Amino acid sequence: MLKTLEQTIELINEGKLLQIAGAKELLRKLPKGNWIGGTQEYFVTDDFGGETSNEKLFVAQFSLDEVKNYKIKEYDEKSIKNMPKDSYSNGFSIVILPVGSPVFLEYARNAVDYEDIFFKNIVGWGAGYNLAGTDTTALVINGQTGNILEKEAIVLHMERDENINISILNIFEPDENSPVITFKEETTNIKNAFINGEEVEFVKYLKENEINIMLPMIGDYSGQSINVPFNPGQNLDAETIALGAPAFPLIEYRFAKPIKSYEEAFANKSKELHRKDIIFSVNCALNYLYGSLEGKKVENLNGPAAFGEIAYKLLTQTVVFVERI
Amino acid sequence: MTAINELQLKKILDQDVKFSQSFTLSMFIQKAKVDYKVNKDLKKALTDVNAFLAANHQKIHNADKELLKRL
Repeated sequence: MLKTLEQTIELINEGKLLQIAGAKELLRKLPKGNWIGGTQEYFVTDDFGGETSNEKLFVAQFSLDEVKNYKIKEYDEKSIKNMPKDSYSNGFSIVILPVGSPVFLEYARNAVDYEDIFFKNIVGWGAGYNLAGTDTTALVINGQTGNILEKEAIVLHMERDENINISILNIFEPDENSPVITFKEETTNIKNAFINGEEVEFVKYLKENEINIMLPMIGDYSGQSINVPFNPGQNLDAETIALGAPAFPLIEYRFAKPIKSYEEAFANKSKELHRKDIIFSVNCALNYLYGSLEGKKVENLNGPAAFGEIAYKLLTQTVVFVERI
Repeated sequence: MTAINELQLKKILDQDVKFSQSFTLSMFIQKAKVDYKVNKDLKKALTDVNAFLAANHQKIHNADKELLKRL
């Protein structure tokens, strides 16, 4: 829910267990308590709808009647690999990573190889900033110690009794007419790629085949579509093209099926959230911006619109949610 | 407890089997496939997949039963 600074301070002082997202200036004013936080100014809540604000905070409250145990821990780019082992077997962990930080980059590249990652429930998001502003730095905060972290992750591990399930919503799907695209090695800046097994100069291929780089490539994870977007604002006269997330070898990618209207596609897809018993959700800032969510309500979606979402691994242009089952 | 044998695992690793009904299961299976392509260690893959199925029956929301039916 969106709260004022005063309302948020009151909840912290009452000893509530909280996840908080908001502008840097507001987060810095919060007292110590049982909370973790990260910078973000885009929010979607089912009472206010989409809202961009540096005056309100998004506050998710976790009832201590439902949380048996919890711990708040900080991880740097070396220790983050141990994070899943610290997560409770029953329950879930919320990871907040400052976008572009060493720990963010390490997590984006290697999270699926961390021991125990798929044996625990790991969700979270990338802390960001207002894209219309001049400050392009993100931070996260350990509310228990007051530590302000620009290079490390903050994690709330919660032990809970109920059975839960992690899922995603993705408005994109692979185009059945797309060639299969593969890469020899992990990359965030593509020069060459394999198109149906044949090595090509990728940017030249995109230009010659008039591929719409506003749409992501879709990785096939045994039936789950995982987006890899091209960074916005690039032209196809360069030798390489930059990605908003790494593309990996041994994963088959396809170009996305075109959508008529991003806004309409997101509105339709988000209906899948209705009637679910959701206890955590996070959206992507790109869905917020391209889906024109400002002022629009999305039933059962409550959270920041972040710079990357985490469902085990770092994702883009998706909604991640945890539901009771 | 859901468990699979080597033959069933080979089907998963070698064929284009989709598990879209469970995000967690499909992400884990994809990791197992990638690990197997790199390591070629079928016994380790079998141990990993069965440990996952044993530990995550509730979490994958009975998708493991669906998986077995399709192998």
